[in-house]
Amino acid sequence: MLPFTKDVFFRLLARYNADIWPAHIAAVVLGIVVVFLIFKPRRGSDKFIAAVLAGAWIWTGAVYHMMYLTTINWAAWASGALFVCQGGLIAWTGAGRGRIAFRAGSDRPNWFGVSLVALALLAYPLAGPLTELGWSRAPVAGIASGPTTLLTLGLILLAEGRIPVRLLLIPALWTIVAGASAWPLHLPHALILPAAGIVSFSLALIGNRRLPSNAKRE
Amino acid sequence: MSRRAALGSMGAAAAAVLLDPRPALAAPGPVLEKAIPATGELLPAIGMGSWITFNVGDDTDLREARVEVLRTFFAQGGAVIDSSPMYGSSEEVIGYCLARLENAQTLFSATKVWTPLQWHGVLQMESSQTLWGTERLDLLQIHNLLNWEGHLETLLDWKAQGRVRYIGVTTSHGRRHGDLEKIMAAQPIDFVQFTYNVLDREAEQRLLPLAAERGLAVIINRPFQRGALFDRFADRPLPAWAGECGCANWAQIFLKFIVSHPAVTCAIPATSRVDHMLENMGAARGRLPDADMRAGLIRYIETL
Repeated sequence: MLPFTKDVFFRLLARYNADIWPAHIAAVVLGIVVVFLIFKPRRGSDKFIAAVLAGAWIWTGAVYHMMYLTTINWAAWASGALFVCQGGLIAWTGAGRGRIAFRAGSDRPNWFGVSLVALALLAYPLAGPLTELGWSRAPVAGIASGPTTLLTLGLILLAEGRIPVRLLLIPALWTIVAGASAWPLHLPHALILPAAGIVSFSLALIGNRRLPSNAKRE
Repeated sequence: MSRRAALGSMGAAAAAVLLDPRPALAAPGPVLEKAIPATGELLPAIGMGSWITFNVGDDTDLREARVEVLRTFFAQGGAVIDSSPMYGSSEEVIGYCLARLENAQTLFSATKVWTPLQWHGVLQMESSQTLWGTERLDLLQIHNLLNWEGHLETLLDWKAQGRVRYIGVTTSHGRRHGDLEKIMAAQPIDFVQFTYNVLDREAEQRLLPLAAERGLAVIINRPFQRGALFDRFADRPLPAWAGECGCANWAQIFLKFIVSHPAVTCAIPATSRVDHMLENMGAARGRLPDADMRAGLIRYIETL
């Protein structure tokens, strides 16, 4: 059971969005750049995408979870730490060591990955005004937990060669936690997030089984 | 008195009744009080819980709304406020409210320690005291029996030093009654807290008689089953004895059922609304149902 009401949570979301404005614009622009780069890669673009993704996790963990959500939920210290860890993991693997190449392809994980990226960058924030969330609480990828998680699942599924499953662990876990938290609040993403997490994780495992264990990036 | 003056007085009285909702929500008379067996100190039979309802973070508008809820609570004769470090910002918000109230002199502060680590429990209790902003907490309870052996050692020490007046243990949702019973039977505590309401009556079997036998004060949580009782019964007619006991609504029926049990000291309904606080505190006045009325209520709701 959550220790706060839907009204209190919605007011917190609205205040967070108001306080960090215009960070939303930067997040949207970076999202558009990321989409462009997965279709038209450039030199260093993979490290750039990983850095953007890592920054999104660290921001969401440190600012949204630890500075805002902790005011009504002590457990947000733990979730914030998980988000920061995930950011560090992506930064180390992708931005630091350059071990991930993000490419939009045509196989099943890629197709699903592109769908999740679209869901995170377009459908999720635009669904705000269509639901009780409204514009003031619209969740934007890069600064809100849900769409950031979906964006990450989608981009990791676009990894060339074997999909780095370790980078999916925290996002997949978070989809379950977020879904369970959203359920009692009757929020629309209560089912979307866990479904995306389970399908992404399954596709990654199935896709990797079809590849030799030492398969490298193409 | 002239007819005109008499009519004027009657009109004024009628207007007062129409404009002030409180006379319709509360029976007249003094606040119902019950004694803490350990000391004989009297407490109003209706207190206030803070799970969810006072966890509003640093939202200033919501905090100010809670100030009005607490102002109403004290204006209606309330005293016992129960909270816990588990309840997010509730303790901090209560402290915020108390600092802004001029009518909180009757406060009986009850909070809990909730951590598996005994050393951390000390820090938590010190933090609670700071958050409430009171010189001394009245009651410290071990939340859901978590590491009760360790925390009881600390609480006994604090009580001996005069840092807290009373100590106790809590459960909720009907959990761990067996363990609670053993603690009640053997440990030197002053208070117990558990769930009891018109539908959840397991406590009548062993816990309430044991509390009476051991001279323990009893705080009752979840008196409305977190609102579920209203979902089930709010649109049904009140029982026949409602008027006789000054009950104007189901909230008062549910609360008077609880506090009319001889072993119960106080019930702690939670609310974030002034109108609901008025309804709840209405149960702190007027006659309590007797054993026949209580039995009749159980029979009645079982037919609904």
